Order: sequence, then C-alpha cells, then structure tokens
Amino acid sequence: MYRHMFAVQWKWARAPLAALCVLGMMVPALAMRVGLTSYVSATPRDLTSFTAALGVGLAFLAIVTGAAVQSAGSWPDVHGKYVYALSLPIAWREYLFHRTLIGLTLLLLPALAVWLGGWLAVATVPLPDTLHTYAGGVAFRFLLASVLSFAVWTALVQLSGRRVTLVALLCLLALLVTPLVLSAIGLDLSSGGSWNWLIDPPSPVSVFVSRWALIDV
Amino acid sequence: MCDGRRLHRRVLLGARPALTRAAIAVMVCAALVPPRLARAQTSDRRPVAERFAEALRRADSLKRRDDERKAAAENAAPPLRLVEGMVHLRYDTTLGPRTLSTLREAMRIATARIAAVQGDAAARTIGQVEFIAGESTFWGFRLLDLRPRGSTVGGAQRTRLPARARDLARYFEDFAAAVASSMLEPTPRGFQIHGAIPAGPLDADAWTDLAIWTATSSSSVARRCLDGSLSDCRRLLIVPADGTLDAWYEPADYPAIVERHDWTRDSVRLRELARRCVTGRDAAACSAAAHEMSPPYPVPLAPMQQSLRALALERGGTHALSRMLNAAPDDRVRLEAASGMGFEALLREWQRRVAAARPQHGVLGILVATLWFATLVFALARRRPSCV
Repeated sequence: MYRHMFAVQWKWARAPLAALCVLGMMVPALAMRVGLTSYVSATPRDLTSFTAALGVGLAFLAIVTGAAVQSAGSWPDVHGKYVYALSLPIAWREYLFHRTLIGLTLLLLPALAVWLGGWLAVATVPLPDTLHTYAGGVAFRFLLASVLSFAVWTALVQLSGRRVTLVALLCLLALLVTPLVLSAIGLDLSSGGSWNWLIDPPSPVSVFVSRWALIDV
Repeated sequence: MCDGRRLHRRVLLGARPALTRAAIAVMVCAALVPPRLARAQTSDRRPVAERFAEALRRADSLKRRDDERKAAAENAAPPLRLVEGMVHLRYDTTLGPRTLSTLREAMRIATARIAAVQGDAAARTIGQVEFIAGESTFWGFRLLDLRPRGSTVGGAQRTRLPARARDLARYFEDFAAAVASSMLEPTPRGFQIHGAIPAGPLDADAWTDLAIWTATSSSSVARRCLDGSLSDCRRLLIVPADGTLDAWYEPADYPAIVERHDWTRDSVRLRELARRCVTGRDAAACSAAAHEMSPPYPVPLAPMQQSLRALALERGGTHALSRMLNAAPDDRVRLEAASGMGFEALLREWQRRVAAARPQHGVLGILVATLWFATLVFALARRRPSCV
C-alpha cells in the first residue's frame, strides 16, 4: 500500500518538489556569493551575521516546502471530499500514517538539497578557527521545520477544506496585527516579555525563529 | 418710515442710552483727574551697580530658600514604612496593594542579587539608604515614582504601572552598583577598568554574548584569546596608554578595519591610502592608514572588563567587594584582592568561562518540533473526515 500511495503522491508532488530542491540548493550558495561582496575583506562578524540573515530565508523556504508538499498530495482529496481516501480498503488512521510517512520521505529531498547547497556555500569561504560550519545542522533544522509545516498545513486543510489558504492568511494576519493593536492600546510587549511565549519554546513558532546559521561560533 | 436721527442714536448709544451715557461720563472723569506719583518709585540715590547687586543677592536668597523648602518637602518621610531584605522604603497611601506587593517582590529580588555581588558590603551601599515611593498619574497613566532619600548618588525613576517586579528590582540594583562604584577611588595609573561595578551576577547570556563577540572579532588577538592564549587575553583586556592598534590588531587584520573606517572626512592622502589598502592590498598603505585612525575596540571593552570584575567578585565570596574597596587604587591590585587569587589565575579562569559560554546548538528545537508534529498527527488521526 505504501509503495502504491507513494507512486501516486510522487507523481503529484514531483514538480513543486524539484523546484524547491533547486531553490534549496541554490539559495545558500548564491546568497553567500552575492551578500558577501559588499566588503572586500569579510570579517568573521560579517560571515555570522550574514548567514544568520540567510537562515531567515531558509526558515521561510522550509515553511513553503512543507505546505507545498502537503498541498500537492492533498489537493485531490480536498476537491474530491476524501472520497478516494475513504474508499480505500484501509482504516483512516492507516491512510493518514502512510500519507505522513510519504510526506516525510518526500521532505528528505529538499533537506538534502539544502545540505548540499550549504556545504557548497561554505566550502569556498576561508574561516577563522573560532568559527564553524553547520551545513548539516541547518539542513536538519530545515527538515524539522518543513515537517512541522507539513503537519500544521495538514491540520489546516482538514479543518478548513478548500478555504485553507484564506484561513492560513487570516492566521498570519492575526499574528502580524495583534502586536500592533496591543501596542496601540498601551500594552508594552517589548519590556513585559508577555509576548515571548509566542516565539520561545515550547511554541511551534520557535522552531522557525531560532538561530539558523550556516557559519556560527 | 424710518427716522434717521433716532436710528443713529440707537446704534451709537445702544438699547439703554442712560446707562451708556453714565459709563461715558465715568470714563471722561477718570481721564481728567491728574495722575498721582507712584509709590513704587524709589528715592534711593545709590549707584545703579550697587542696587543691582543687592537685587541679585535678594533673588539668590529667595531661590535658595525656595530650593530648601522643595528639598525638605521631597525628603519628608512619608508615614508608612516597608523593609524587605536590605531595602528600606517609605511610602504613602497613594500606593495600591498590588503595587505594594510588586514592590515587596522587587525588593526581595534586588536584595538577593545585590548580596550575590556585593556580599557584606551591601550593608554599606543599599542598606544605608531609604527610598521613597509614591504613585502619580500622567495623562491617565499610573506611574510609580521611586527616589533615594537624601542621597547624592543615583537618581529618581518613574515607572509605568503595572510594572514587573524584575524591572523595579533593577532600579535598586543599579542604585547599589552606583553607590559601590562611587566608593572606589579613581585609579591614577596602571590597569584601569571602565564602567561601574556590576549591578548583579552576570547571567549565562552575558557570557555567551562575550563569547560571540570574541569569536567574531576582527582582531586575531581576540580570537586567539578565545582559543586559549593568555598573553592575547591580557593584550585584549588591558588598554595601553598608547599604541592600542598594535596591542589589539595585527597587520593581517588591518585591511578589514581600514575598510570599515569612515574616511570621508579625512584628507585626500588618507583616502588614497585607504583605497590602496582595500583594493590594492598594499600592506604598507594598510599599515599607514591603520596607524592614522583610532582603532575600534576588538570586543566591547566595558562589558569585557565588567565580566572580569564580576568574576573576581564571584570568586572572592562574601567579603570580595569590601576587600576591593579597601585595596590600593589600582584595578589589577583590586581584582587580586577581591578574588583572592593572582591576576594570571583570574585571567585563565575568565578565558575558560568565556570559551565555555559559546552557544550550544541544543536538542530543544528537535524536541519541540517532534512534540508538535506528533501531537498534530495524533489529533488528525482521531478526526476522520466525512465525504458527505
């Protein structure tokens, strides 16, 4: 059953997956090449701060990757109102288990691409002894983040059906607007620390906003 | 038909001509009475300069009396008293029970943190001052005013309510640090530590920041220090009276610092030197340009030296600050007296502490992601979609 479902999912997801793999591999290398040209002699601080900024881009790519792989696989289910899934001779739990496993397998490919791209990006940069490269670590974080994005997107799809994009955009808007509204009514978020629950562990957002640096101390 | 004369009189004299006429008569009489000599005019025949000096003295005396009255009013002790740990506070009935509870918590936190750094000397810094607290409002916002009573060190603080106990505790800690720093005699020569005595024990984040600054410094001296070279740590921490460039940087570091320096206000010759250094990789030009500029600190100096002082106080225990205050006015001697160990040993300990504070790429993120993923999948497995 797994092989059969994998073949179907692969067929639906391979085009966006290929594009994401290319992006994941090219972004670190290109960004390093373009970003570090502002100074002739890059200092260690330039390297760490630039790769930390690049990490934000990779985190965003991980969110998109998880959502894209999930959407590519679940789009026929949503539009067919799960008729195909529920007509299979397996239980819903088993179906979901297979889908999740297939999702994880597919998400390994962009993570591998990020690892390769990161390794290529840092291989050409001379590093002082105090700095280290974390291409593998960043790729692993990318995998975790994309897997989490995959799970969150699966939940959103099941809860909101075809309106998933609208619901996701509304959630994002709420996240962006709430701090502004709270600031406007006089609640100081910066010093109070009450807002930190959103970005500190165990919040799921912490996986995306933690420090992702290809080159770090 | 309209009578033009009657209309003219009505407009000129108003609806009640008798009253208007009376008012005009009073004004005319007042204008005709000759003015009397003003009594304020003085018959003093003294020179103008003398009279001016006397007026100044009188104004000065008035201002002094006004200041004294204000100071007396400010230092007048409110009726209620609160003591928590080593912090003494006087307040009035404007403080609500919630603010009072937060203040009590803040005083408890501050006492613990101050005692951790200052030990028995805290009784001489925070323990001898009484603070005055009061609540006021400004444009509808509730504010807590805190100020030391009769102290020349440390100022007042105004905090918006509701406040966190940790933020209020910071005020007492900073005050204690300022008082302790004011007790240190200035160091006339030798090794000088910039900045005040730390307000509380340095937390892990402060050490981590130090490790990051050192590891990513443009100076190879700083980076070698992090790798364990004590002589380089000494070069980094002790600011020489002259030749800071040679102490902190090596010729290989010059291109980076020359490139980051703003040469736009310098002469054409220096700009040309900088250009040859950056683009032409001319070592002689780099050296000449680097020696013309004031070199940037390889690592922020005050936090770095503060961490050394904090470590000395931490290692020295309860009497560390007392020993530091009583030692000769040389910061190397003070550090040795406070920590109870030699300067080299203290430096080695500092280097170890900084190197150990490098950020760790922990497993917390893995745990969080796995937990949320498992939770979501489990929740979805229990909710079977309906195809209807």
